[in-house]
Parts: sequence; structure tokens; C-alpha cells
Amino acid sequence: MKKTPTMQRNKDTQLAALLASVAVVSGFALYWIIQIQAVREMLALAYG
Amino acid sequence: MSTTAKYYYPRSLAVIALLGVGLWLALGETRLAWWSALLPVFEWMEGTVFGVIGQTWGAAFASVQAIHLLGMALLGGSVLVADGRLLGLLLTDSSASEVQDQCHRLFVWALVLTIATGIFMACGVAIKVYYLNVFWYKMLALSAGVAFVYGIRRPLLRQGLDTVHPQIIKLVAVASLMLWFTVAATGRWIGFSG
Repeated sequence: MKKTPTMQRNKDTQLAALLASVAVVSGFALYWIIQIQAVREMLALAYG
Repeated sequence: MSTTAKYYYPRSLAVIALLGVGLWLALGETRLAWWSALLPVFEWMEGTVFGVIGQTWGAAFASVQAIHLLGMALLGGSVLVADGRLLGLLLTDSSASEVQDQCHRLFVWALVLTIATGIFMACGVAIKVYYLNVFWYKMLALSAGVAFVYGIRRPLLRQGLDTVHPQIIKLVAVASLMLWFTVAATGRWIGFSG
């Protein structure tokens, strides 16, 4: 099937959305995992 | 038969380039040089009319801050409703595109209000916020949020929700919520710092 410029543009927009969203969600998850881990370690140091 | 004309996926390449620049800035020393170069701008901000009013007239600063918080509430509300609709959690009996359009209109006004009052507030405490790491995190989150809305979310939704894979729409909604949550959280963090 011949891809029209509109189809290619739409595919590009969807790929960009996928890339950006995965980056945001993974960055957010990584940040909070590291933060929660650090707090757990501090609590363990303080209270055993 | 597929077309032979090459298409270079400019939007996707721009996202990859921006992520690369972000990583390079996070891991390198360049951002420290940029930060140092920005000090005169913040010193100048404190000397402007906004800066002097912000430092000397507490009631004016507090009133503008109240408007800033109202703007944040409007902005957060429009993001919650728009993304909640994309996730299928609320207003499911209304047309998704209509909800998105109305929320975006509200979002634009809220963003203008928040940025305008934010500039006034930043002038009043320019040197203080210059030395706060969290202020820069907030500016980064705000820039990422605005870039995400205008570079990713709006162009995607303009295609028509029926033409986009439902999982991509949901992922975009979750990412949008996370970005604006970070903007709001770092904003409150500034209030508790320094």
C-alpha cells in the first residue's frame, strides 16, 4: 500500500509520542524508586 | 507497493535529540557554566519594578501568589480532566475531542496566568530562587510539560482519537499527568525551601 505524506506524518507523531511518554514514565518511576529506596535505607539505619 | 520517497520522521528525531541533550546536560558540566552565566539576569530581575514591589510590599506579593496558586489549580484541573477523559476515567458520556478542546482552552489561560504571576514572584525572590536546585527542577519540568503539550499531545490528538492506538493515548495521558504533577510538586517544594 502506498503511504501518503499524511500517513507518514501521523506515524511520526505517534512514534514521537511513544518515545517521549516512555522516557517520562521511566524517568518518573526511576526517580521515585531511588527516592523510596533511599528513605527505606535511612529508616533502617535509624530504627534497625 | 510502498512509496520510494524517503521520510525522515522529524518529530521522532527531535524527541531523540532532546532526550540526548537532556542526558548530556544532566551528566556533563555544561549546565554549571550556563547557571553561572545566568546570575546577572537574576540580579537584574531583583532590581526591576516587579522585584522592588515583590520585596517591599508583602501584600502585593501575597496577592499575586494567591492568583498564581489559582492559576495552578486551574491548570491542574484542566490537565486532570483532559487526561482523565483520555484514560476513560471520567466524563465518558461526553465527546472526547470536545472535552480535550475545552480543557485545552482553559489550560492556555491558566498557563498564561501562572507564568505571568510566576515571573512577578520570581523577580521578588530572584537571588533566593537562583540558588535553589528545586527552582531549576521546576523550570525544567515546566519546559518539558509545555513542550510535551505543544510538541506531542496536541499534534497527536489533532489526528483524531480514532486513528491513534489506544495504548499510546493512555501512555501519553499518564506521562502528561506525571509531568504536571512534577511541576506542581516542585512548585510547593520551592515554598518549603530556603
